[in-house]
Amino acid sequence: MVLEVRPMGVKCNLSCKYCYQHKYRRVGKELTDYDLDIITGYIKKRDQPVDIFGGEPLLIPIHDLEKLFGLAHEMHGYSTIQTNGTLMNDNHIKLFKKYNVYVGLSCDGPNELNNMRFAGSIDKTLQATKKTLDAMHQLRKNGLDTYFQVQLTKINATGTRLNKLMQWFKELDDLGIKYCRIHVIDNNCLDSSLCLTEQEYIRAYSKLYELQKTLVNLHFDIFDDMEKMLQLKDDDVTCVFRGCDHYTTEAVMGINGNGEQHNCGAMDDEGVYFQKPDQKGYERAMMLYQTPYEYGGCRGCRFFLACKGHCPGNAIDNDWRNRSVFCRVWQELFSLIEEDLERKGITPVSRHPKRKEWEDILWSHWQRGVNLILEKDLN
Amino acid sequence: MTIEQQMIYETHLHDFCRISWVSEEAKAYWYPRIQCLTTLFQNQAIALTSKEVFPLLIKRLYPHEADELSEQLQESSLKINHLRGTRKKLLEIFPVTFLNDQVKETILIGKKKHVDQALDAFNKSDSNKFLEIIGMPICCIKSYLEGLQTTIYNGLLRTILKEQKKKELNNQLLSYLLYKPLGLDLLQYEPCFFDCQQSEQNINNVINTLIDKGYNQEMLWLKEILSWPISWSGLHGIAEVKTPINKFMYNIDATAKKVELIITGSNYPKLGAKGLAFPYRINHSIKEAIA
Repeated sequence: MVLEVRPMGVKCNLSCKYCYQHKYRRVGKELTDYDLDIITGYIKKRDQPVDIFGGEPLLIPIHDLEKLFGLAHEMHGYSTIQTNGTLMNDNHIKLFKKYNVYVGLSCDGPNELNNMRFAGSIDKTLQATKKTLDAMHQLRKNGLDTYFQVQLTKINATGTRLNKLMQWFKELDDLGIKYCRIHVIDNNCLDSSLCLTEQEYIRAYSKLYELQKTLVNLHFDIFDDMEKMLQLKDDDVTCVFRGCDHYTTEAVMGINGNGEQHNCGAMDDEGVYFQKPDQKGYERAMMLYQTPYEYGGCRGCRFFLACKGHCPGNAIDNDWRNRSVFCRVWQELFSLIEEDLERKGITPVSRHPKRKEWEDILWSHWQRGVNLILEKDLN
Repeated sequence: MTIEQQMIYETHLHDFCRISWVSEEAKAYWYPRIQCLTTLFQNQAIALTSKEVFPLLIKRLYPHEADELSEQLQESSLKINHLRGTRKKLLEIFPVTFLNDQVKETILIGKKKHVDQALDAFNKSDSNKFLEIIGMPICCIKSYLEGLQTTIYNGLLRTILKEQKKKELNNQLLSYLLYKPLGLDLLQYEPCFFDCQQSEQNINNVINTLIDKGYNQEMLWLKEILSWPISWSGLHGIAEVKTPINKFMYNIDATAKKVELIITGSNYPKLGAKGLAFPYRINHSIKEAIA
């Protein structure tokens, strides 16, 4: 679990139309001020790797950023930051280098592909995108590892634009970028016309999966995670494949600049920062396992051990008790990866004779409030 | 097959109830008050029985607990008696969830005349009479005996299904039913519907008796809680209740489709969260705390 530190809450200098944090902005969770003592006190108390997050974290003065990076470095030797990069300057880069900060850039591609990360006008948006990509080059020039968070939308992943996006990924690969996370749009997107259809998602993800095979450096973590999950290697995969408990969001513990704590921002459509209960629970995954597919569950799905209904934040009808609304997309991708594994002579968990036995073991542990790490606990 | 039966499918899930508060402040302020109310109703149940607000109290207790209670009641005007019968016979009256722990015994507590009448009715397998003696209104008895054995409160399911999946109400006192998983249990039976007037009257009797006994502050807290907006929904065997100060989930029988109940409420607590969807509000300018 990382400690997500959001000094200014969800305040941002851009206004991305699909941002999953709009719900919090609408209830006034953007902060104009923060208490550094509260934040640093909390970082010390939690003793977890720190991710400086927002909104846009580079909105805070550099001397305060340095205090946060310095503390994280002292405690863990590194930290991460997630930024749109438009405010990044040489001083930031010096800090990243000094305190071993791993920089995640949010960008959906070059030029017009990134137009949904809106900066007030199309011209300003294009300029902002250029700044993000300049920042990426500066980071690389200074030998700093960086990764990308990319959102698939109608703007960058349909028709010929998908080809442009793939070309950009090849360029990132050539630059030695190692890692990229590709996202589906959140249920709460302000403009649903930006969302890809199921078929468009399948087409885009399938093409990117094929593209990854040709790349030298760049990996899309979703495909790596799915491949791992199909081999029960779940020790370090993304939270969405681990039967996330909607109430405790194990992968994320967060604090805002005013001391308010929060869970993963993909949950809670009301825009309320619900607090973690005392106990973890895996009731959602347990019930999905038993619930027929036509009712919104996963009963009988051969990928259940690998998927577990996926992210509750993107569930059918915005109700976390249902499986992911993108189920067909994940099934298609799992099928592709399953075939590739079989071609390599590996029996994926979805085709394994022990699948049912493993499902029963996982289920019985969930019943006791324990989420097994299958890789360690089944072998 | 009834509409309720069509809705429910076979699943297994352990008992649980997990609470998530909207803030540490809301928890610090309201959790002790809710605990206080829960304890009060547990502790005062016998006092309410001796005043015949509840004509008869029925408890499931371990044998040693029954013995202790018997000793405590020796000096009082109340009589305690075991209700002995086969499980099949008990199931004619009690829900299977009530009889869950088979080591426990079913105990009747009340004035001698009520206990004797109840035992007689039970021995004659007269469920109607038995339920009448414990203080259940006629309308609730009818619904209860016709109802489905489900962990979803039947009145709730029936109230919702009458309106096809979702129902909005502006009821106050009976919204306590949605807080029952947190231990807030005001009556000895399940009201037939959320708008059962006789049951509302019975709750008023409980509240007024406790005010007379000096629990004025506690009853103000209770009335405030019951005046808030609250939503209940059930899907795939998990119920979720959302109130302005917390949300909690617990296990129920699994329904194929989502069923929802909304009680619009008339007040909003000071520490209630700001939020976009019911029961949360962005603007708190509405009438606030009574207590």
